[in-house]
Amino acid sequence: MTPKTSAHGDQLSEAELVADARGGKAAAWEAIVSRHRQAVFRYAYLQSGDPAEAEDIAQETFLRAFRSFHHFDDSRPLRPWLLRIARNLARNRWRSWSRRVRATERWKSEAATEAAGSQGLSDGGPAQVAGQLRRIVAGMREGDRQVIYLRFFLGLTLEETSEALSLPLGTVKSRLSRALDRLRDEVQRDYPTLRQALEE
Amino acid sequence: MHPWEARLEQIASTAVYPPTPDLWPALRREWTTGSQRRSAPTLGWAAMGAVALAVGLALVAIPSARAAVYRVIQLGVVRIFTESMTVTPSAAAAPGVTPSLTATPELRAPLDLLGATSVQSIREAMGEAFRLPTYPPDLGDPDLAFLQSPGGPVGVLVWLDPDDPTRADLALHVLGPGAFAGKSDTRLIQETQVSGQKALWLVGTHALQLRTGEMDYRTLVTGNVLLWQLGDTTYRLETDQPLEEAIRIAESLR
Repeated sequence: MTPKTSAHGDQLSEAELVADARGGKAAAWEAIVSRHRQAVFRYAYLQSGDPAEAEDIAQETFLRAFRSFHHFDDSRPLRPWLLRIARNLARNRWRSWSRRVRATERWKSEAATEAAGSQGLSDGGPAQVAGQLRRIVAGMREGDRQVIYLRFFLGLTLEETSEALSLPLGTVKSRLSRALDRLRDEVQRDYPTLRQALEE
Repeated sequence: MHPWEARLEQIASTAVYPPTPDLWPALRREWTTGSQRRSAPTLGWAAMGAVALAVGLALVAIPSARAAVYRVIQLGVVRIFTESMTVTPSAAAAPGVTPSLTATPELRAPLDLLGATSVQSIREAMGEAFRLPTYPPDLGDPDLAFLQSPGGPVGVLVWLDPDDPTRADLALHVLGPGAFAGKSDTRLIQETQVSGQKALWLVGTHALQLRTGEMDYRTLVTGNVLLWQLGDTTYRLETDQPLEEAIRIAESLR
């Protein structure tokens, strides 16, 4: 989950990288970006459904992090903080009407593809099942969606999810439990292919 | 982990994403050149805000000056002390009312309010007057909630900008009957409508005062504000969104 692609990142712990970044070392920032860009980009993509939009959000996330790094509590993990920034940037951008219209159009297109798949026109393979799961979660309420994205799609621990959502751990656990109940009900009711995949 | 959840995690992990772009080249340019360029405007706005607040408070502290300069517009329990010529286009000013502000400012950071509590507590205290916006659909729950009693109950709900915790993304004040809120130094007021009822749109930095007895809370509002009334409850929405979005948010309260 934590790729290490730069020499600086390979050599230093996150605490050391954060300290170096605070000290103005570009190599530390490069390593931080390298370690977390995939998670940030994917989270942004889950929120927006648009690669260009996700790239903008991911880039802006790191810029905001750089500008407000003095707010970061370095006793806490960095990734949830970055994902929190990404989520709020995505939320703010979503408020733009034109973006919302484009997202709705994408959703309609994906839903049409999914309907074609359910009629036997697609292969029903793992990627398609995962895509169907993503679209179902995308249609859930905000609180449910975020906790499922972070916990299951990005693989964060409960503690990291709690940090990313700025919620107490107990609240995250209960929210996740309720979200999964609702997801399970929806899958059982309307998505036989996914239901079968989940019960294998 | 429950087997169903384990399988869910497994399926979710196979989701297909576009290739992650290389963000560093563009970020490096910003990192190496941006810090000085960005810090100056921030300080500039802070200084301008402080000056605007100081001027506003100084004016309302001088009885003759405020009688001569200010007019009062009232919507619900909110009084707006404004220069008479700034009201546009059709909001009617009520001339001749002298604001009764005290001159003992207690300035605090906008999010540093008394009465931090839970959303549920505000709901219980305010009863049917308590409503939350359902637009945008993914707004979520407020990050902060405050319950105050400046003459009457005031619930304050704040959605934070988490990458700058000194700022709010959105703030909704629910002011029950008997509360007092004053605004001064407002630059532009536009009359509009929320759900067919008269509403006011306040643009630009202005001072906000909440008062009860000898307590006096004042702060500088940097966002735009939409004011409207439902029954005997006054709602005040502070946002950086344009008027059309603010109205949508206001009309989504449930």
